[in-house]
Amino acid sequence: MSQRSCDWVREQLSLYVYGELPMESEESLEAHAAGCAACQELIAAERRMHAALDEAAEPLPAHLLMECRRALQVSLQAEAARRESVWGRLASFFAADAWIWKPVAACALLAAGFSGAKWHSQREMLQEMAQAPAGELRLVRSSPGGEVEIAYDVTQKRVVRGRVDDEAIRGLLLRAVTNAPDAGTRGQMAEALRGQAQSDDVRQALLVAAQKDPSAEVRVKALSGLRSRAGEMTTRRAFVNMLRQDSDLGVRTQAVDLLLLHVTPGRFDAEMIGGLQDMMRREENSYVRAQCQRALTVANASPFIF
Amino acid sequence: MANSLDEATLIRAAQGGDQDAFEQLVRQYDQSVLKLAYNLLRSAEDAQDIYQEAFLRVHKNLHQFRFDCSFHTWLYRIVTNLCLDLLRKRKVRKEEATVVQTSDGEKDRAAMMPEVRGDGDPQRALVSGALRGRIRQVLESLTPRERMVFELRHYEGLRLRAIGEKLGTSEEAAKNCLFRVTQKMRVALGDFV
Repeated sequence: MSQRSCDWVREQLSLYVYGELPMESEESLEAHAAGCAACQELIAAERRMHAALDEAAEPLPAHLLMECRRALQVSLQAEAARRESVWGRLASFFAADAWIWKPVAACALLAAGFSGAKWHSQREMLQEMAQAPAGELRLVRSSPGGEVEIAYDVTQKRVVRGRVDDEAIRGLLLRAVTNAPDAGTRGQMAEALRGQAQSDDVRQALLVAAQKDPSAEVRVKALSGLRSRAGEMTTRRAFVNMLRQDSDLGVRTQAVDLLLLHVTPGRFDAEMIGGLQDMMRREENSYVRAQCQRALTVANASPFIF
Repeated sequence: MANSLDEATLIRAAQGGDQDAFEQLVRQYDQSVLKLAYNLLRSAEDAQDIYQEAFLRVHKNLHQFRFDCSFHTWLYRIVTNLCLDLLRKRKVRKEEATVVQTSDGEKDRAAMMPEVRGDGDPQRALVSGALRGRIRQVLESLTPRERMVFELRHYEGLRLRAIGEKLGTSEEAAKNCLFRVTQKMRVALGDFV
């Protein structure tokens, strides 16, 4: 293995930290750095720069993925409806030439778009379209002979309606708030459950979402839903836990604000006071630190550990 | 359509007109496509346009996909080309909403960022508004191709060889791009790190 210089290390630094150097070069660089404090510092600085770049990544807005999926579905439905209407026109073209199919009166040719490629009889489609909101029917074509083509876009979506306090509906919301694949849906579910936290199952689900959800937006929404339980000691301990562990400033701000909704000394136990004192040492944000100090003052505790 | 179907089966089913299969295929990749577009363009509206256009093109041209490369590579070629076109054409909108909801009402996220303190933990001090601002400035000063290579390597974690394949260029060219970007970042962020 040849002896390498500091200049060579500097040139290879970015590829090294990205793990893109060939193995031999990587070994040479590490061998040089092992005995060179200046190069060790260069590597450490490069890693700090990577950490800063990681922190600067923009999180996706909570609802964006869901909106994109919805818009794509609409476009695909429109495309499918367009294709179906082309088939409809072809069918009517052939029908016009076959005497057995000649219409005796005005006939309506109905094209139902995006029906999952499943065949529906005209009668079924008519029944379905009779129930459809009038605004969703479209006149695709009309001929002087009295033939019309009406389209109605349908999807495979199933919709249920009910009150949030209905057990079955709430069950769906509880399942989705922690299990839905995209953050937008989980956030919406947390918002829908906001007024239901008096139920223990809802409180539990919101606590799990507030502490474990990978999206900070969802964690903030779940925390907001716990406002009505902010006076209970178990919930308050969870707030302190989030305050200490969550890397997102919005979540920490929300947690400390909820903690301060109830400001009597008896609402803070030794564990919470210890957590708040720890935050006084570690927290860098002045607002959160000031709120922690306020909480400690209310709890008749010192802001510092002596 | 069962969830356990492998990708090739899904693609063949989608090529045969199975909409459920197409939807499953979209859902396997759409989050990373959107994340890439959003990070590159820093605009929800533009990212949504890219998402929509990319998957409509996939839907339209899926019958032409011949398994000559991975579906991921094929899809990313479409997405990166769309993003590069947009980066070249448009001036990327700069500011997104920075307001967070707290129990005291709305607060500006930037105003709530931790202040840079010389005596603090340097790792945490890095995450400052000033630092983010500098990173953003450097990103905006990059050429579209540099920006794309950096995004794919740093945030998507793709190897330089894979980036070359997706961008229709060589590994060496991707390496040079990455090298230039890290140089610029180092100069701009030197005070902080």
